[in-house]
Parts: sequence; structure tokens; C-alpha cells
Amino acid sequence: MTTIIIIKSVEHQSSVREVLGSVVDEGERVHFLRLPTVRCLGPLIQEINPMINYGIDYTINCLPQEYNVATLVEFAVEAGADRICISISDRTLTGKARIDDLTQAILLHDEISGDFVVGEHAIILEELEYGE
Amino acid sequence: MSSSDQTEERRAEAKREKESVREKRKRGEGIGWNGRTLREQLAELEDKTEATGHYNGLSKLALKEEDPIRFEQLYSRLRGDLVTARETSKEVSATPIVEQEGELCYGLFTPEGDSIAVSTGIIVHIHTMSEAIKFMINHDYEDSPGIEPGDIFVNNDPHVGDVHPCDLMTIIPIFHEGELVAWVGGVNHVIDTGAIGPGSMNVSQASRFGDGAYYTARKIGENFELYNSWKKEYPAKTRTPDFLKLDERTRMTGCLMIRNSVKEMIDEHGIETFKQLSREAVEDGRRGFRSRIKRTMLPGTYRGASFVDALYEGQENVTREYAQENHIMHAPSELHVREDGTFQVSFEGANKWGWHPFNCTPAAIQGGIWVMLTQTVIPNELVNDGAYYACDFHLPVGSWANTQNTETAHAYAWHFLVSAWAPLWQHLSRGYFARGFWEEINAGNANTSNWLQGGGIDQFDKLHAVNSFESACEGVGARYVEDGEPHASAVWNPEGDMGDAEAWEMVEPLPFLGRAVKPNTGGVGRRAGGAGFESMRTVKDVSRWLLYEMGNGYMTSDGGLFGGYPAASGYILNAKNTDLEKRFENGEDYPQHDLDPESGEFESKVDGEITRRPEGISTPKEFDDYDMYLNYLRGGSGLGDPLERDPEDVLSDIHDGYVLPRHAEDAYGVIVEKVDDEAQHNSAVQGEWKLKTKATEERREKMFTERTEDAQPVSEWYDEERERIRNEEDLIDDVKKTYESSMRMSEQFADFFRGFWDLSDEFEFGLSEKAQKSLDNRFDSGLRPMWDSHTRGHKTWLETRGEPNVPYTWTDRSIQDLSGPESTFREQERASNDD
Repeated sequence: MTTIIIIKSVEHQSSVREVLGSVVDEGERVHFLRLPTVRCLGPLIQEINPMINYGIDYTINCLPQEYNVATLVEFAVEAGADRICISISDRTLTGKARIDDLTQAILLHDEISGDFVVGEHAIILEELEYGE
Repeated sequence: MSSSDQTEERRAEAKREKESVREKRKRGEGIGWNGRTLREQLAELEDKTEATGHYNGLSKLALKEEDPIRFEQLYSRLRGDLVTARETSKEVSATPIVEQEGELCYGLFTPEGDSIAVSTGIIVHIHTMSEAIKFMINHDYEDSPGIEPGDIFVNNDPHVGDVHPCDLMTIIPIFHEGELVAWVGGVNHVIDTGAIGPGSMNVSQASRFGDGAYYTARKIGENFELYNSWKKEYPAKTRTPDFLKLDERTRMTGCLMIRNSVKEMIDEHGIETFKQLSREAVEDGRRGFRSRIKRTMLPGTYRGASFVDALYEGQENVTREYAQENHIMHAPSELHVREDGTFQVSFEGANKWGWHPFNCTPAAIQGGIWVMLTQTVIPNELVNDGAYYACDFHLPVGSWANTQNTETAHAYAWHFLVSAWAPLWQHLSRGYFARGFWEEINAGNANTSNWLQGGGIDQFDKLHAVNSFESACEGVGARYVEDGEPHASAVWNPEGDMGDAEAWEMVEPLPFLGRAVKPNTGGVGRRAGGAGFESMRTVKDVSRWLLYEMGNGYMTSDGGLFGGYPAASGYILNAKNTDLEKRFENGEDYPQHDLDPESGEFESKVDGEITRRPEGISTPKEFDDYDMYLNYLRGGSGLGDPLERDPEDVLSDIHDGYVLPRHAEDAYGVIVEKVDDEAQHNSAVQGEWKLKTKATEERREKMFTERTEDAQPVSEWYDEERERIRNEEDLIDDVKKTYESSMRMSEQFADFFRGFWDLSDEFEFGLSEKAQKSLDNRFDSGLRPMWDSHTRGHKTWLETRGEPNVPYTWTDRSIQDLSGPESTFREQERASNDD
């Protein structure tokens, strides 16, 4: 299984921990994909140590400044991703996860489909299937 | 191609490369491999290394395994290019420190700052440069000030990555198609750092603010050109600007040569091959270290301790009154060799840092021990930071070994550093002995001094400073199978020597009156420690000239091994207001040596104010024309019972000038008689001596008998010592302060000390008001760390809470981390290339 974790901020450690701890199994492949809002994932990797603490193999990648959802889906296709995970960055007054624009764009994208799961800190799109 | 053409080409190349970097930035990519930032790359590397036990998770050395000859060829080419760069560039420098002694080295590093290959020279700094690169990465230099093709960085901050500030390092990145593929760095020891006193390692300052200029991992140029601001700034901060300018050109020359070599290799063999070689070389170095440990040592805990003195009571010109106190460095040393071949050095129980310039930072300790290990444990393996990854260090925060306080002075950190590694030689030697590797056994090479330093207005009427590196040539410790080499080397710069006297005289207004092997300086033993040597210097054509001494005094750090004796301790000999000028004019005899300090010969050949004292350190003091200064370079320690030394060898020692005849009897029980007054040997010793075989046998027999009569059971000795400690009898304040400091630093040490001597749980030494105040002052100073964000490898440096669990054997006196006393490497898979 291959998982993409989209990272908008190095502050989103809890969502990464949740995905690595509860969603991804040991030995699986993870792509940490930073958005242009994040200059460097170094501090996050140093804090979490994904291989030491979760036994996962991983790469670190980035999306360009002018990226759009198609770029993201293209990356997911190339990586053969089974899951895409995004941190919950916004909540309603009652504490419910608010779907952000990027998540919504993925959900609405024609070329990708799958199951939608909301965790405590992360939104997980799993069982992904891709169009032609 | 002319040099200006080369400069233009380099600029154009930098411009092209910068375009590639900027294109990557636009894509949101970093300058690391495959679009990562350097910090991401470093974080990933540390994570994968620790998780897998292999460097960057590299469990298979594909390049090496597929074509081992090619791997060796490529690596040897890199290594050869580094050595060539050093040999060529050192001719650019004008200081004998570099040109004569080769106090210069280069390293090639991975993007994450791990050394791949090293030159010869003062390679302690390979690892300190590694720390400086990691500091830049982990403090986001990629964003600010930016790391781009053609950039030049400098560092000499020990809290970042250096032993002391007189070792200036130049570091430049090497790019290929927008990626930083490697770093190259060069270090050399400069003459003067602009400290409060002249010379590179002043000793009169209480804090780092007297150490001289600190340049903290700083960008000083771009497009391979130094900034004008830098070119104007640093020369004004030293007494020897022209020498420092040439030193910098030296380092730049070497770095650019190595950069060219790397680029050529990439052009010929491709970038992927270079990247693979970089990674595999470090992993291969790590495996080599582990394999060597498994092959030559036994698992277990090796314990020892070392001390060295630094006496400041009554010294003049100390910058703060509260710094006028005596210091003793205490280094309880433990080496843990685990069953998997891992290797941990612990200084738990080290005493507190002090208001003196001998404090160390972790970079200094790790770099120092790294160089010692590379010279001893892995001389036949790849020498790079693979050895660093095979070791771990426990350096208690707040101790002299890891001050974590940017107020502490470090100008001569080596004084404590080299003294502290003395037990490490013994740990290794005991392991080698147990496994039968007798040729590897060495009694130790600790305190390398004296350091002649000073400055003022020189023979050319210029402000100048001096720092004699004759100390790169000391007697080395005895080996199990042969004597230590006399006046041979210093482990921190294995290729160095004493340098030509004429070369020193060109840059120092200190003419040589004599230079000779110094008798009785090597430790006695079945195998004798190598003898040191001495230079008698006078002063000529100077004004307001200062000189000072620096080294071990009452104490010698190496204890000797297997019954061998330590090397001789230090002393100071100066003469002022002498009649030397008259003696020269009248053609009269004058002192050229001080071969036998107790003979009175020196005093009989010169009139003046003579100072002779058994200490090693003095603060800067004024010298005038025809004053005299003895530069005494120490010997190495001995190994084995001196009464087992072949008497014929002792006779040779006399003729070679290593041992005085009367000392032969006292130390070796060898009786000789003079048979010719005139005969000359290849030493300053005059006369032919003959062995008295029967008298020697009788003398030795008597000495054995006396030993037996004087011996007492350990239990009796223990009881006497315990009473002495409990009642604090004959314990000077300096000793009590040292142990009290260690007990305050470490509960484990305090428990051990009280337990061992059967003292009450509340036992403390009674200190004088001054000593108590000194300890309180330093313990209350808190921490002022330099690293805001540390890498995983630096956690042991910086974290005061949740300190990693360090096996500490003193309290329960068991062998921690082992499955049992019979544990062996054989229970593990045998050491192999895949370890």
C-alpha cells in the first residue's frame, strides 16, 4: 500500500502521527508531499522520525507554486497511491472538520475516486481508484 | 588558461548553476537531492540511519559489491585529490604552522555534512567541519542567508563546530545541475585570533570574550569571491593580517582544487555514481569500524580516569579576579563495547566547566576522539564519518566537556581534551591485549605541550604574534612490542614534525640557542616512552614583547601502562635581564640546553633573573632582548615493568640522550660507568658509558626485594586512604574542589564515590570560602546553548531533561548492556562486510 500525506504546515504533526500510527501499516510506502505553503519538512521529520517510530519507508516531495488539483492527481497516479491523507486545518464552531478547498477539489475530480474517512486530525481518502 | 580566465570561467559557471537552482526554487524544490531541502535530507538520513543501523538505510553496498576494484579506484582518486590539494595549497601559506607542520586539512562531505574522504593533516577538523555544516543546515541557512553555487562560508565557533577559534575553516558547496551534491571544507591553524593576549591560544581570559574573534558559520562570499566587507573586517581583528590573508587563500586554493576534482569525476562517471559512492563510502567506513572493534576488542566496559592541572593562583594579567584559582580537570572515562560492536564513550562524573580557556564543546571532544580512533582503530579502513556513526558519546551537559554555555572560553580546549582521552588509549590497549593484538597496544599519547606563544613588536618593527608548532613533534607512547618513538609526532597532526629552526626564526624574533633530545622525559618501562625534546630560545630586536607557556605542569595525564611509568611532567624555565649579550661579545660559554634541570648547569652559564618552577602554564609576561625561554616538548608514557627492560637498551638510551646515567640506576636498576670523557654520540650527551652487568643484576635484585618489603595488601591501603578522605587529611583545596564539583555534577558519580570509600550518604568535602564561592558561581550560571534546533545526533549534546540512558557501571559495578559476564561477539553473527 502506498500513501500520500499532504502537508500544508509543519505544525500539522498530530495529523501525520495519526496517519502513521492508525492508518498506515509498518513497511508501507509513504510520500510526504509538501505544498508551497511549507518551505521545509525537516523539523517535522526530525520530530516524528517516521522510520524509527513507525517503521515506514518514505520519500519527501513537493508541489510547485502554481500547482492545481490536476498536478496532485498526476502525482498520485505516478506514485500509485492507495490513500491520500490531508490534515484537518479548519473546524466548525462545534468542532466538526471543515472540508477545505483542496480536499473538495480532490473529491470532485473526475479522475479519482475512493472512500472518504474522517479521523481525529486527518481526512483520509482511501481505496483510491483512478480514471483513464 | 590564465588565472583571470579561470576566475571568469568560475564566475560564469556559478551564474549558470545559480540559474538551475533558481529554477528549482520556482518549482518549490530545495537544493538537496531530488528536490528535498537540505534539512529534509538530513532529517531523513538520521531517521533512516538509526532505524536500520545502516548509514541512510544502506543495507547493500551495490557499487562496491558489483565492482569492488572500481569502488576502490574511485575512492582512492577522491582521497588522492584531497591529499594533492593539501600538499599544493600549503605552499600558499606563509606560516610555518601550515607550510612546515602542515596544520591544514581538507574534507569532502555529503550534502548532510558527513565526511566522505579526508586529506592528511590535522584531521580532527574533519568532524568539526561536519558539525559546522550540520549547524548551517539545521538553522535553515538554505533560506537565509541562502546556499548557492559559488558561496563561501567561514566558521571558527567551537559551539558550532570547532575545537578552538584559532582553527579557521572555509566551506564551499559543490553543485551539479541545481543540486548540492557535496561540500568541501578546509581548516588551518592561524597564528593569531585577536584574543586579549597575542598568539592563537591565549590563556589569560576568563570567558570567551577574551578568546578572540568568533565567526559563527557565516557566509563571506559568493560567485567564488570574498565579500569586500569580509576582506576588510577579519584582517583588522588579528595582529597578523597578512598571514591570515594567505591562510585564507590557502584554504580557498585547496577547496577549489577539490571542487574541480569532484566535478571531473561527475563528468566522467556520472552524478549517480558519485552519489552512490558518497553514501557507500560512509557506510563502508562505519562497517569497517565495527568490524575492527569486533575483531580486536572484547565486549564489556573499560574504565579509567585522567586529570590535568591548570594553575592560576597568583598568575598575572588574568582578566577577572575570580578566575585566579587553580583548576584540575577530572575525566572519569568509560568505554562501553557492546556485543554488536557498537562503541560508547562516556565522561559521566566530569567536573564543571571553569573560568579558563580549556573548556570543550561536544564538537571538540567528538572531533578529537574521532581523530584518535582513526589513527589507532581503523588505520586500514576508509577514514570518514562512518566511524562517527559507529560511536556514541555521553558528554554531561554543563561539564568542562560540554559547557553548553556561550560565555565559556575555549582558546586552548586541547589542554583538557588531549588529557581526557588518555584513558581511551588504555581501554583500547587492554582490549587488544586480551585478544592478542599486541602490536596495536600503545601506552598513550596525551598532553602535547609546551606551546610557546606571544607577540608584540617584532624584528621588523611590526605588530606580530607567534605560536610555535614545535609541539607537533612529541615523544609518543611506548608500544607493547617496541619503544615509543622519540620526538616524533602529535596524534592530532600525525604528519607534523618540529619544523626547521630557520623557518621559525624567519617569523619569530626568537633565535635558537640550542635544540636537543631531552633526557628523562619519556616514561620508563620495559618499553620506554619516546623522549621529548627542547629548544632554548632567546629574544632579539623586540619591544613590548610578551611570551607565555602552556602545558601540563605538576600532572601528567598518561598514567603509563602495564606497570610502565608516565612521561615526565612539565616545568617552566625563563631568564630575564641576562648577561647573554656580553657573553656573545666576549665569546663566552652560554646555555644552549637544560638537559638535566637539577645539575645547575644552566644557572652556571648565565647571570640574570632565573625562574624555574614546576608548573606548565603562565600568562603573558614581558620579555626583552637577550631574555631566555625554554620550550620543552613532552615525552610519551612507558609500558611494562622498567626492571624488565634489557640493560643494553638502557645503555643505548644513555648514549642516545634519552636517559641520564644516574636516572638509569634509579628507574631501571641499571649501573653504568663512564669509560671515555670525550666520545660523542648522536645526542647532546658526552662520553662513552659501559654496562656493569653484575652490579646491575645485584641492584635489580635489591630493588625487587625492596618492592616486596614496601608492598602492602590493598585492603590495608584502602583503609588508610579511606581514613584520609573521611578526615580530609593532606588533601589540598584544589583536589577537594575537583571531587566536590564532580559529585555535584553527577549523582551517579557521587553515589559511586561515597559507596566506594564507605562514606555517609551526606558526605561532602569541606571547602574554603573561595572554593565554595567558585563552585556556586559556576553551578548557578545556567545554560546558554548555541544550537536552537538540534539534529537527532545532537540530542546527547543538548537535552538536559530526558538524557539518553547511559550505562553507568560505577554504582553497581556490573557490566551493563551485556547479557552476562561470559558474553562474546561470537554469540552474534561474525563480523563481516555486511555487519
